[in-house]
Amino acid sequence: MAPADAGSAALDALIARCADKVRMVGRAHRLDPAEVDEVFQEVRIRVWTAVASSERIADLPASYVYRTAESAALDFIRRRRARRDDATDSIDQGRDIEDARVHAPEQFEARELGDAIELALADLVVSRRAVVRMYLAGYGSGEIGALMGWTEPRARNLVYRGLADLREALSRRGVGPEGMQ
Amino acid sequence: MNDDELRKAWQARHPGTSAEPSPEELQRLVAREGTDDERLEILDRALSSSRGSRDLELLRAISQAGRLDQPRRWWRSTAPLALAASVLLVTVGVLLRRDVAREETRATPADGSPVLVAPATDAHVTDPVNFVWQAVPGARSYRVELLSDAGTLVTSIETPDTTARSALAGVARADSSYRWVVVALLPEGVEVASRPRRVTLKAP
Repeated sequence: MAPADAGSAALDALIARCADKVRMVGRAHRLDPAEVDEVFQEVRIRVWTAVASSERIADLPASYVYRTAESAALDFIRRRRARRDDATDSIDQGRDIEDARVHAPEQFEARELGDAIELALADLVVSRRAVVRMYLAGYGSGEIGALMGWTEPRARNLVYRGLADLREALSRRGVGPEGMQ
Repeated sequence: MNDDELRKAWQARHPGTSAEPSPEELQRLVAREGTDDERLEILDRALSSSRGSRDLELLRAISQAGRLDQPRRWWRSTAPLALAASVLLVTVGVLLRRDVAREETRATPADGSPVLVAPATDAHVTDPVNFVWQAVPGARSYRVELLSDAGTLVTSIETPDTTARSALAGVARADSSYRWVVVALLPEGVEVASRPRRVTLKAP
């Protein structure tokens, strides 16, 4: 195998491994695998552009790939936001029509309850509200701790206290253990 | 509503319209830059909108995967700490064991309470019983108390010495366990009690 081919194969293997790991971490939170593919395609181009030598590419640490991926993901988000801003009106109109035609009454009920929870969240102080939002979004206390740089017990404790505050706020708004009253 | 029901209901809400954080703010959040308060505020805004949540998740997954993909570095950075913690635990364990073993011979503890010498913990003794303890500085006399398991006072003896010989026949039952304590009687009515020690009276 030529040196350039060997470097390319090593880089492909490294990028594939990193991308797999990202997909695995994001799977529980519905991270779109296509987004990850798009970011890591960009990573491959950036690495080849920045590191011309195939020998150096073969020795690249995974940390370099992840740093490049963070940068590529930021640009990806910027581009996506720019596209979405152009299309905001049509998306929202489409969503309204979908709501009216497709969603069953029980889904409206669920949304109503969800909106009540969102309103009750406004009663919480920001520090607890953010942690509770993360928990409600499906993140565990370990993931919350990892994001914030906290220990898992500290994150768990804040989630616990935040949920207590939320239930109290819901109760004040007439939402009890059985839901809307 | 339990936690799962809360989650499902919240996730079914209408999408939020609040201002989502900029990509740079999200990057600072996942890079753990800034104070907790600043980052929590960004996190709150990010999770208030579906767009912000989606963008955050992409950055978070990359950052978290990068952290998870460094097991050797993680081990190297924490190995010295783990080793130090192990040494500390072993040392503390040894000291605690010595502490227990020396209970009968160590000097007056920091709280100034009497240190019991004999009978040993859980000793089986015959009547009469010799109680021995260490002197407490400033004590004018001592009171030895024998208590039932329920905490009822069975008998007590007061003495200026650090030993007391007590005939328990008639007040304590054979083959029953009791606890004994020594109370140091200090000036101005101050009393300091030892930790209780269990003793069983054998049949004669």
